Amino acid sequence: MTQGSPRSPHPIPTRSTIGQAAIAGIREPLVLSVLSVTAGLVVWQLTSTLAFHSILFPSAAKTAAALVATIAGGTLAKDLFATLYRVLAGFAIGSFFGALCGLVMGSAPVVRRFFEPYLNFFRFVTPIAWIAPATIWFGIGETSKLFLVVYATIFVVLVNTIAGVTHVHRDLVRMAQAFGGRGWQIFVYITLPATVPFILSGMRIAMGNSFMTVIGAELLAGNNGLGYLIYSSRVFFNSDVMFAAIVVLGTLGFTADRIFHVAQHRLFWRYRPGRP
Amino acid sequence: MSTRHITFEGVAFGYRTSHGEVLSGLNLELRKGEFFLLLGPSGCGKTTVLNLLAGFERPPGGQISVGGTPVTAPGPDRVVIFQGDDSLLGWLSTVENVEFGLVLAGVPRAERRRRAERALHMVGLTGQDRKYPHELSGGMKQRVQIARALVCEADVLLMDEPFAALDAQTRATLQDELARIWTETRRTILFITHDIGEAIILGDRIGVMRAGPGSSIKEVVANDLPRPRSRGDPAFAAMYARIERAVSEEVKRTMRRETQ
Repeated sequence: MTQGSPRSPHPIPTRSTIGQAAIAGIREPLVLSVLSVTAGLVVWQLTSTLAFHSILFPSAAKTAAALVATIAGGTLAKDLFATLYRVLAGFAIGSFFGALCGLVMGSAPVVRRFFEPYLNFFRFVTPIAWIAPATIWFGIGETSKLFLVVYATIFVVLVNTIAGVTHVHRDLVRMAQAFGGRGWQIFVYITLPATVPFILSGMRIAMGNSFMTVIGAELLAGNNGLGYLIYSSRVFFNSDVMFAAIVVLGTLGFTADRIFHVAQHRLFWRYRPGRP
Repeated sequence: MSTRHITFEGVAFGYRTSHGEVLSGLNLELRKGEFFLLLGPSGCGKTTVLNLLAGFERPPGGQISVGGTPVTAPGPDRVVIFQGDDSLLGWLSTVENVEFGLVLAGVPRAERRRRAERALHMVGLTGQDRKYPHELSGGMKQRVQIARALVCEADVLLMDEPFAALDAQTRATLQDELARIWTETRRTILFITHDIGEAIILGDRIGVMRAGPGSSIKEVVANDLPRPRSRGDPAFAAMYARIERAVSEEVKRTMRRETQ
């Protein structure tokens, strides 16, 4: 019998089995992933050298060389961190307020109905549409980019959180009521934990949106960041640098998503979506 | 014995649609510490009776009281065991699920754990306390629900076809164990079922409901077969035949109404 601290997850049946399954399940897909990436690079190299002018479509090798050069020159790190900072800060702020407003709107039908028209209006207005107004309001500095990333994040998280709150199973709420649970207790012990998976899946989608939006903002208004690097390379027709920046961007997003996925399973492993 | 614990007086419920009300003029008395079975054809309003007593719904007509106090809202004196497993908290382990009612009541951690372990032992889940609901079978999940209800020491347990989704073998085992647990604890239980055999194995008294709309109690059959009860007992068969007659009349009535 286990009498350990009830806070610490018991190592045998739950957390470690999930971890072991993840490690065991990784090997085969890993081989496949390496194969996939290698094949992609080969196809890229062949098509670019055989079918296109290298200025229009630089080869994988040329792009890699440009990547090494920009890393060595120190410009890449500067642009990468500028972009990463904007994404992470905006994503964090947007997710926090998205979840907060979603919990309030999900719990209070009156508030939800009042704000629903605005929610369903703004979530169809792409963040890109706000680049021009944002630069007029906040200039081309950090504030406008932060604003845009927050905008890109908040509605997805908000909509998902509302869905989570309103889909809490009736039996869960009734069960808590039958045990004498008061309104705030039902919120803390039932609604909030039941909504966690919805918030997290909203955040994961929102992270993708953040990456897309920040590049748009940097392309059109800015003086650093990966988007700026892509756009400014056009001036000297440095298409290999453009491609290097795109590769870095994709890799960055991919890595961020993996980290989020792993963190979700490590930190929030209790909160599985779906039925108990 | 036979002190009145729960009373339904002229209870009506439902909307006056073309199908009529769900319940009308329902009278029922439960004695303190008795195991009362409510039996009836599907759709007759059995679950409505339970929801009203739980306080999830308010009757527009009549009155329901527990220990002389009218029911106006859900309360910790009437704990519900639901049919499905949707009422278990997927993010909590078995023992944490069992402790849930005590957490809401503000019982200190050590006492909570001690009482939960005892309840888990009573329902035969010793050693399963660190598992999560998704790791448990359907029968084990219903045991968790029973333990969660027992741990709170509520006077009244309301059970809404808790074994209906289980396989026959598991259902029979849980019926026997519930009968044993009730003998040990003597809570007042209102148990809803459409299974006549289950009603006879468990109930002190069996209330047969009329077919809806406007359902009420058709008759209450006292079941004084000695416990523990066996399905092979000739007296069981006689009781079965008697109750089946009463129920089948109502089932036929429902079917006639549906085919009209």
